[in-house]
Amino acid sequence: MAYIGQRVLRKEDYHILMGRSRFVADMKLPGMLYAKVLRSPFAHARIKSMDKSAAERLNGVVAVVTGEDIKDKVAYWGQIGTGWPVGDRRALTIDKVHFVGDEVAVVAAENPYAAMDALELIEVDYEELPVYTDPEKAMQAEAELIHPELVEQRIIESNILSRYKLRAGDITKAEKEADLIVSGRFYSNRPVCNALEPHGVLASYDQYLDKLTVWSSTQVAHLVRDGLSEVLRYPANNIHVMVPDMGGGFGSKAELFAHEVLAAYLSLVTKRPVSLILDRTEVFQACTSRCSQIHYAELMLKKDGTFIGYRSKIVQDQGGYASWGTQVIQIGTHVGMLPYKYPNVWVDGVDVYTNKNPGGAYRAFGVPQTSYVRDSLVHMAAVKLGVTPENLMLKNTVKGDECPYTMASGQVIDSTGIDAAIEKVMEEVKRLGWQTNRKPYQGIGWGCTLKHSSCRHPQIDTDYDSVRVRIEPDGTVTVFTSACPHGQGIETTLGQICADQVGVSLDKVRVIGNDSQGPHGLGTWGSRTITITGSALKRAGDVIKEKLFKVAAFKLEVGEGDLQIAENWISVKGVPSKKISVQDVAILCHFHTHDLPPGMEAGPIETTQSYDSPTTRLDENGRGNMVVSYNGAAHAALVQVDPGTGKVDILDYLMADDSGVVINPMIVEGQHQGSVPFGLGQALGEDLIYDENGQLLNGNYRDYYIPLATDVPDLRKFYDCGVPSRVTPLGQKGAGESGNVPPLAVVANAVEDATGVRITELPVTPDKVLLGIKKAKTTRPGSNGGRR
Amino acid sequence: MPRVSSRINGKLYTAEIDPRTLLLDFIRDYAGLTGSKRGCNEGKCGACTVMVDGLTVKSCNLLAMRAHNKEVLTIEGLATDGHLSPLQQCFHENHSLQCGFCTAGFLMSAKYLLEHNAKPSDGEIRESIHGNVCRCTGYQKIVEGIQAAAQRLRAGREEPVVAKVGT
Repeated sequence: MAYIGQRVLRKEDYHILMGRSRFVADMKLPGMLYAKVLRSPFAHARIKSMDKSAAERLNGVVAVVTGEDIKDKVAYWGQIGTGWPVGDRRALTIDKVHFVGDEVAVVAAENPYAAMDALELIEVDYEELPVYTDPEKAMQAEAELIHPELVEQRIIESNILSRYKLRAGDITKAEKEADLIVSGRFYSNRPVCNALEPHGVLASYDQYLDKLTVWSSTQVAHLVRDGLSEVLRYPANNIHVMVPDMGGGFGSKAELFAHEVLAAYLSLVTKRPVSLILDRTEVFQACTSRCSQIHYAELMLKKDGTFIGYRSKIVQDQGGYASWGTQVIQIGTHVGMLPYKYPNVWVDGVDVYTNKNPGGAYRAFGVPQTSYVRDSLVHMAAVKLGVTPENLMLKNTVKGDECPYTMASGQVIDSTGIDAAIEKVMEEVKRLGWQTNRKPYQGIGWGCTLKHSSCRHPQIDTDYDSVRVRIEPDGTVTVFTSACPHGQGIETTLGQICADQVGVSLDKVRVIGNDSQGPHGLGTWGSRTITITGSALKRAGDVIKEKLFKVAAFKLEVGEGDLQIAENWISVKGVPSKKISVQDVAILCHFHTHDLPPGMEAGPIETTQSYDSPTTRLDENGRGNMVVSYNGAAHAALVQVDPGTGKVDILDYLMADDSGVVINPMIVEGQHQGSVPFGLGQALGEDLIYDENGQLLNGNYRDYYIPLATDVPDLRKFYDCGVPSRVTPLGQKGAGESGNVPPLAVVANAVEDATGVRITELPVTPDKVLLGIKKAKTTRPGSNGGRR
Repeated sequence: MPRVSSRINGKLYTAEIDPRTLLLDFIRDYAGLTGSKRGCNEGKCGACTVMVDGLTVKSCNLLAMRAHNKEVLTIEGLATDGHLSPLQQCFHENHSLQCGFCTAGFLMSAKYLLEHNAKPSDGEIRESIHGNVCRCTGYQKIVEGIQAAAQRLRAGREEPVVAKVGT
């Protein structure tokens, strides 16, 4: 193990630092057209008529396409997220619009200005329909249908697009036996990932080769390739999807989008390259956000603090299209209830169409929503029981020495450092004197999570990835992967794994991802690349080494068992001078095939290996284990609330994490430090705001505030409490998404600790805090913050 | 159409442009330097930050004509003969970048800071980059990268002084 665990500097950095990074908006091809999308200005309306003739006549315009034009040429999609026989998504909507920003028409022109001018010349006559921005209203039987076509096809019955159910134990019995039940209605908000690179695509069709080449800013090159093939009814092996440098994703680029289909379609019909780069407002309007949820939740406890039951009704605000929403509730609830042990669980959820942007994948999927509710209830219970929340957390969490442990709801915790992480944060809070030195209106908040390291998605029943590893004639090693890295440093970390598994030096390894011509897989999201792709790579490395040994043993006239490999040399154990280099073995395989052992085929040493996690589907009660290994995080914050303005400042922040066996501690630390501000942003302000007409009020960076360097606390207080996974081949777990789960509850709990005000609707904005403080003062005269 | 001449990274670029052309588009389309990025096009994200006559500006918020007869510095002009500058090198060593879309802007803001404040506090560093959004790093390792660069630059400047004392 020479490289795993080392702080290796990234291979990805140099070209970026030199200004030579190439994102899709940096690419130009000869004859390239610029496309722009006409989007709905209404949240819910029928399209009565459209006139595109003036736009078509505009100088420089090459094509104007409406939904009606492509009705029979471009199919629906979206089944991957719902499991339905048909999807609800069209590249261009036909007779109605579902939210502000829904795609209505598209223009391709010689330059972007002509394309933008042409959009203004397309006349659309809309008839407005009732708008639903509240899922609890949209789910009522009498509500106007947002997707009547799905009801007509008997796929759904109302605006409820899916239902979720989880049953374990006997919740009625738990309710009777509980000494304390804490409950509340909680609302979690709708932030947008805001990958700094807006979504974009460049598609180029060559009519003579009959080949469509697509460069897209996507986390899922293969899913985009397969999706385009299905939607355009065009052979998959004629489509080549590549991802150039990619400026972040965080889940927001983890599905096929309309702009990708539109650029591909326009290129097919114009037979010219078509670039379609979204602007920031389009990303806010029409790309996915976190799914906001309403939870009516109860935590049932014995008076000694033991959790005996958890009951919740969840209403998810899906927005205009299904996206990944169904699975956001499923996975988010099932994983989000961890790490606590409750013998009795009852959850019912509904996912409801509304006239907002589609909710979808967002860093940590649905886990933060449930975790916010869960740890808010834990804090509320601690206050009622007169104990500290951290002790209540620790008492009820699964412990490392109990593992493997199967929860009542079926999650198998193969190993965990979550208890050690909570204890570590407790120790640091004490050491730093947060409690003893606390000033008025300062508070301490706690939160924790077990987060999935990849997940078997219920509707697609797969959790796999694959790699191809090849020894080149010069002894270098190429790793082709299905991963689509976009900042995680995967070329470095997979390189570290490969170098160790094969036995070569890291400088000999090149990792290639982001390409649909590589081995097939699901892409990079859900903390899956190190967990899943890394496991496939471990398998491939073993096979490669076996083949290398076979050739070397024959050449050196020893048994394969007598050999060892390190740093590009295969040598005989105990006789270091008797050796052959990996390069010389590769030369034999490529060019001196008579020297190969009998039965060995000529050609490069190469293998393709895949890994599908040993996980289960959920049973009819929603029980099962979808996750190979859970990574953990425990956080605490010291906050200061300004009683005059309601503003919340994070004074100090602590995090302890179990990311399993760490491949590269520098990168893992960077992932945790990067995800905390995501959580703090959601907790303190990030939220799409819609008015009652479904108009988006803050779809730009002036009105939607992203945490800046001056808002984020110092994040150096990070502690590794890693415990190796018992299941993954290298003991590895995910790391990129546990950090943004706890901050939601951490902030809400700290504010209550500081002011006595419990915020049950995220985000925790100054107005809510101020109103809460004022209300508390009228009901509890003399209250001046700080309770413990 | 007006004629604009700008010296970008020491090289003169002259073009007849639409007067509405933004400096960012002049740099990207006319000079062919795509290291400066467009993240919001409204001067908020900072990915397009460049230096004009020694001052940092958001190039999506400035007309190209305003850079007429001026010196522009972009990320492509930071290295010398393919060697990273100390600031770039410290970004590499401190893992101050992940996806890299914001990096050009942060390097420019940091360069400006270090030219005017050789020994910044962490707080001063945070103030100096609060016009740049990074969604990957949480800013922590960017602050550390800039702090490391400040130290390295100070060591570099102090070196001859130390040598003099030694002799």
